[in-house]
Amino acid sequence: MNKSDKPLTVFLTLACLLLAGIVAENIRTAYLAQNPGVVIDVSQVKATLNKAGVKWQEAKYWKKL
Amino acid sequence: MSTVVECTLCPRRCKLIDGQRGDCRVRINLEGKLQTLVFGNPCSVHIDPIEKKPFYHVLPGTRSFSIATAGCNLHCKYCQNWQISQMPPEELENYDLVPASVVEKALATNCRTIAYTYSDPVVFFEYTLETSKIARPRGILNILRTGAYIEEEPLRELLEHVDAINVDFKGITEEFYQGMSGGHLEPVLKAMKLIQKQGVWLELTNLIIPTWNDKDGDIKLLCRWIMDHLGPNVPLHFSRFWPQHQLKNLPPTPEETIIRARQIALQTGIRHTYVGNLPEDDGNHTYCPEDGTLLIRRVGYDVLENNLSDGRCPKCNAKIPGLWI
Repeated sequence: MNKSDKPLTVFLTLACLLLAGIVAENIRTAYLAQNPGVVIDVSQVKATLNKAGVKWQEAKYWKKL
Repeated sequence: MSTVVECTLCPRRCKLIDGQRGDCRVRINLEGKLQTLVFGNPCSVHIDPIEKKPFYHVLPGTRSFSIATAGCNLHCKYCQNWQISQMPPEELENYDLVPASVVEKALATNCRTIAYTYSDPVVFFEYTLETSKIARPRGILNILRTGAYIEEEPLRELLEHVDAINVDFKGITEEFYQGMSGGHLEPVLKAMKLIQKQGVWLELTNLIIPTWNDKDGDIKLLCRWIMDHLGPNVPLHFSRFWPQHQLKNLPPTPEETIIRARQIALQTGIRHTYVGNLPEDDGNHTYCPEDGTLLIRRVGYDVLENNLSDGRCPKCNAKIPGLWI
C-alpha cells in the first residue's frame, strides 16, 4: 500500500463502520416498531405487570428456538 | 444469553426475546417461557342477545354471557373495539374471573351460551379453552366471534370444545387483509374450512367498507368462494360500516350497498343471508329457502316471532340448518 493511501483507507474503513452502524440501527428500529412491547429489563416488566394486577401463567403453543 | 421463544398459536409466529411481547400484546416471553397475561383476566363482561354476536341460527332470542380480554392478533383499521383489542392488559381495568366463575355466572344469569368475543378469543386461547371445557358439561354452549387467524393445531384443539363460531371474514383479497388488518387471507380461508369440516356450526360476517370492499365484484368473489368451499347453508351477515378508529374519514356504508350485497349473495345461492346494522330491514329475518315462509322475525337484536318447529319450516317441513334447541 502506498503510504499516501493510508489516511484514505482509514477514512473509508471508518465510513463503512459508520454506515454499517446506521443500517443495523435502522433494522433494529424497524424490528422494534413491528414488535410492540419489546423490552430488555424483565424485572421492570414484571414490576409493571404486578403493579397493574396483571397475572401470568404459562401459555400453550410455543417452542424454544 | 436469553432464550428466544416462538409463539406457534397464530400465523404471525412471533419470535420473542426475554421480556418481549407478541404482536397481540398479551403473550410474553418471561425468562424463557411463553406466558399469557390474560388468563382469568377479562376486561369486558356483559350479557348480550345472541343476535348481537351475530348468530342468527343458534338459540335465537337467548342471552349470551360474553367475555373478552385485552389484545388482538389483527389490527383492523375499522375496529369497533379498538379500546380493548389494541391495548395491553395493564392499561385496562380487568376483572378477576377464573373459568369456573365464568360458568357459574352464566348459569346464574340464565345464559345458555358463553360468547368469547369483542376482541378475539384466539389471543385468550387458554382462557377460552379451559372455560369451554367446564361450560359444556354444565349444559352451556360455547360460541366464538373471531377473525380465525390461528394455526391449525390449536384450532383443532379448540374445535373439540366449542359449538359455534362466527368468523369475521373481512375480505376476499390478500391486499385487503394486509392493508386493512395486517394479516393474511390464506390462514383464514383454511380455518373456515376446518371449522366446518369438524362439524362446528359456522356463520360468517363481512363488514362492507366504502371504497375498500364494497364493489359488486368483491362481493361476488366472496360469495363465490363461500359457495364453492363451504356450501349454501352457511349464514352470511353483511354488516354496515360505521366510522371508527382509523377510518373516521370514511362515510357509513350506504344502506343500499348492504341490501345489494344481500341480493348478490342470494343470487349466488347462499340461502341464509342477513343485513347487519340495519335494524328494521327485512334482511334481518330468517326465511325458509324452500317456500319463502317467514321463520324468524327480528328487529335489531330482538326476536319478535319464531315460527320454527323443531328446527323445521312449519309449512313445508324443510330442515333449517342451525343449533335451535
